[in-house]
Amino acid sequence: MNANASPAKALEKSVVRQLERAVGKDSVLWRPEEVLAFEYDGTIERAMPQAVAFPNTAHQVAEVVRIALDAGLPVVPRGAGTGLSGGAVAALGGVVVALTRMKRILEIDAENQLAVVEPGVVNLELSKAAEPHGLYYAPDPSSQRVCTLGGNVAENAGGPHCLAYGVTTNHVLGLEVVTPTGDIVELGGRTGQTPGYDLRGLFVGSEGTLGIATKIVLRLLPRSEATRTLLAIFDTVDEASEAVSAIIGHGIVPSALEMIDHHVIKAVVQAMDVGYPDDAGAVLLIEVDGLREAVIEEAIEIKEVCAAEGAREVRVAEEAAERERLWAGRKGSISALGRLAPNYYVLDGVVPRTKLPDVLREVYKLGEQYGFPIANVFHAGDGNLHPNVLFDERIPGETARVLEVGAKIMRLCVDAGGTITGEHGVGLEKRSFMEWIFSEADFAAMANVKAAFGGNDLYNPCKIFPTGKGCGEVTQTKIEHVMKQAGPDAYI
Amino acid sequence: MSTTAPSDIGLEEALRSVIGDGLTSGGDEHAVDGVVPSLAASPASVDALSAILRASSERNAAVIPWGAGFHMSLGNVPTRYDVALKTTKLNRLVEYEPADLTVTVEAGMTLGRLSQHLLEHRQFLPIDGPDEATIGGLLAVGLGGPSQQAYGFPRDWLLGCKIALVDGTVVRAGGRVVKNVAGYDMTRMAVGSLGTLGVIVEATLKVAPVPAAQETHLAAYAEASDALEAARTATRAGLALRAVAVLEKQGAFWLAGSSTAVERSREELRDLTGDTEARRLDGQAADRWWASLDRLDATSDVTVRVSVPPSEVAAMLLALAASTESAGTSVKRVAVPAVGVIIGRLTGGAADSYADVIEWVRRDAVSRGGSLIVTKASQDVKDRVDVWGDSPALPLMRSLKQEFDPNATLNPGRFVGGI
Ligand SMILES: Cc1cc2nc3c(=O)[nH]c(=O)nc-3n(C[C@H](O)[C@H](O)[C@H](O)COP(=O)(O)OP(=O)(O)OC[C@H]3O[C@@H](n4cnc5c(N)ncnc54)[C@H](O)[C@@H]3O)c2cc1C
Repeated sequence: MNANASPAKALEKSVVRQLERAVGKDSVLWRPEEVLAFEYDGTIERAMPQAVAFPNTAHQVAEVVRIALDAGLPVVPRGAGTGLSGGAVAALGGVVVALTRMKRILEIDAENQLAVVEPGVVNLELSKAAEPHGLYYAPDPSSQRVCTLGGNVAENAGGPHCLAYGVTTNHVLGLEVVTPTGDIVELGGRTGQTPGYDLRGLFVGSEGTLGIATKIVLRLLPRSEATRTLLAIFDTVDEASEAVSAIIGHGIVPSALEMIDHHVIKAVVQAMDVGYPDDAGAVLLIEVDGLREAVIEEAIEIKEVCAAEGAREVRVAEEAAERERLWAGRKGSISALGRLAPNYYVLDGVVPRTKLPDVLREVYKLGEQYGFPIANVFHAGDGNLHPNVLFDERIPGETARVLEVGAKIMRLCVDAGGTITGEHGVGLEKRSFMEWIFSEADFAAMANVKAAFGGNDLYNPCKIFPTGKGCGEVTQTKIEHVMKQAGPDAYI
Repeated sequence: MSTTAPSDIGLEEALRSVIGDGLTSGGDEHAVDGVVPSLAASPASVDALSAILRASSERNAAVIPWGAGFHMSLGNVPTRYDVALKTTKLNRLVEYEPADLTVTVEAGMTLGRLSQHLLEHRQFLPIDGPDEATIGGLLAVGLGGPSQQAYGFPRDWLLGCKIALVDGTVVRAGGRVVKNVAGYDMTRMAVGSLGTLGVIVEATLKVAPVPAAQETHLAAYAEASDALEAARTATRAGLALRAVAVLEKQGAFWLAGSSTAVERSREELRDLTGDTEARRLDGQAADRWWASLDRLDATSDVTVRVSVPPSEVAAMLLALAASTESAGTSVKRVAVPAVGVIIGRLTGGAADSYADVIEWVRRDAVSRGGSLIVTKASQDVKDRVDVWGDSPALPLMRSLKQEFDPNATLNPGRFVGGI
């Protein structure tokens, strides 16, 4: 019926009725044509869920979880489905718990600079709601117009401005969570430091395997007095990446430090007018904010470092409109990639910042070896690479080769002392790479954590860990078949 | 010497077979809340430390990991205690890459020595603590000082660590890069767990560049509430502040940033310290002043740490004063209002009155969305009140402990809910 490895169990009508009683008749989907839209997330992974439930409250979430588990069906939490590792894909079928209706901002406490939200609130909506108070929510994944804060918590999402301000976990003060056994518990609180183990911290980034976040307390930040955006233009990627290392090495931590290489620039200048020179090897988009005086000083310092590393030109934008134009190129880069190739496959490795120049060189070399252009647009200041392998899935055998080159790039990152994912999560996709960085003992410890939360084989199965009951064939063997059905959208 | 002890011998013999001379008798210098261990072990390698943990656990012996011993007053009275497990010989600098702003050290390295290494490259670790404290100890306690205002929680600086577990395995949490979401973030589990799940043996930390300019301004106000108001205004103004502390009627403003930012902040600060007599401290004098905050515990019988949303700080300061007054004790209060932390140092009372104050202020803090922990108290006081207070997540915490340390080998009884 679909790409599921082995749907856990048939969905009984009586279970559908129970779910309907729990969340309302109009809040359960189960007909194949209805659940089809929930077959995939942002990746190439696909699998059909057996039902989708849309709870409105934590209690309803808890009930759905209990009903599914009692019926022996897997449970898969889902936000906006923009995840890039297959985390929200119902690998073994089961009940998808869609949190998109729990989208109320419950509280903005301006005095204490925090917000309390339901998990389905869209990332950008929170910053908009906080704006009148002079506050904003710092983590800004490029998907922020659609992705949910619940999904951000589950993936520990990052974004361009996480360099200075930290990723999601640095901003989560407290959580209300429905555990895999259907209990409702509070982790953390409103102060960020509560007595006992930091279960809040363990939960963030657990990819929906330790429970479902039903309420989130988040830190908000005050807007800075001044901001400057710099565009440093280089003839070569090499020089640009040396400049990244040099900036950090000089003890400057800008609020954002992004790199856009020549492939991406080419796509971007075709798509929009953002003023990037089309003959540049790479540009760095750098932002500094803070007190007026500090910002002026830092901008000058960065300009000097870039010049010393061979920048052809460094433009400094002060006005909001000017700055936004520079950012538009970065923000639109992923969709512009569609101009270069029918498909692209995005990776998410991290390397120590001093290793950036070497690793990037190797990445391009691999692309040449395999005959794929690899377009790089990424969070350079964090050493968080996003190589996009450009390809055409219609050419037989290409998909398998893309996955192969992807694995080699991951290996490069690991060998450089880095890791296989900086913000997109392991999900279904990168499970097999986990063994490169963790030992048996490490996995056993993580299994302890999972057990402590009541995690089990039915709770978001086949995610994060290299082994799992019935999960063996889910990804690799099905991929080619799945890729044939997937449109270009599925590759981001 | 071997790294596994034969199973048919007693504790002392077993530990000696692992570390030989590294084993001594416990003694009063290793007492925790008056409980004296029979043995003290100072392993010189992670393997040896790990073997000691395992041998102890297999024999149902209780182990308290021991760094510099600086924070040993924190926690409930241990229910059992056989071995002080000292990390001080594990003190190597494993890797330092200044250009990456990351450093890896063994857990027994002291903050003071790490700071020296980092200073050579004008970098520092923004976790406040006494120079003698070990990195492992600082992380296991996990409580931040004033710098938390600008630099965030201590946990935010730990990128990865190695943790020795009671079954003799050493697990790796996180990594050495600044961004990482592979697997569960077990670094968060280690920070603040008071060594009840495992022993941190190595840590990779993010470090920060030393700000180009730093200076501290001390100002005396007529009332504590004036000092608090000035702190609030300075923080709101977005000045280049590393921290603002309020000590009763005194305000301490720690400026840090580029020299022009600090210059302008100094100007604006002048309005806030206006009529008052402000004193400026620079360099080592300023460092000494802030470090002295850590030493104030020497003068108190009981120290409590209240954590509330910042809007509740003023009310909590009053509550502390009122409750101590009615209990017939006195209190010295230090607050870092921007992060909602208040330290209360109590003197001049009996165990009963301290217990009353703790219960009363804790209830108030909890009702305001916060918490209170006791960071220093005599055994008498600890017998009367729980050091940590309740947690709604206690059942989950217990199962975490059960998974990692089923025999309660590590720090038995000292943590939340008697974990
Ligand atoms: C164009 C594009 C750009 C992107 N840019 C970035 C970026 O810059 N940085 C970045 O970090 N990511 C980025 N992403 C990835 C993705 O947007 C993030 O991972 C995001 O956090 C996922 O949110 P979501 O609501 O879509 O979650 P989903 O994809 O629906 O789910 C993701 C995971 O979270 C779990 N989950 C969802 N809700 C909950 C909940 N309430 N409780 C527990 N578990 C839950 C799911 O089971 C799944 O494992 C990008 C994606 C796209 C498509």
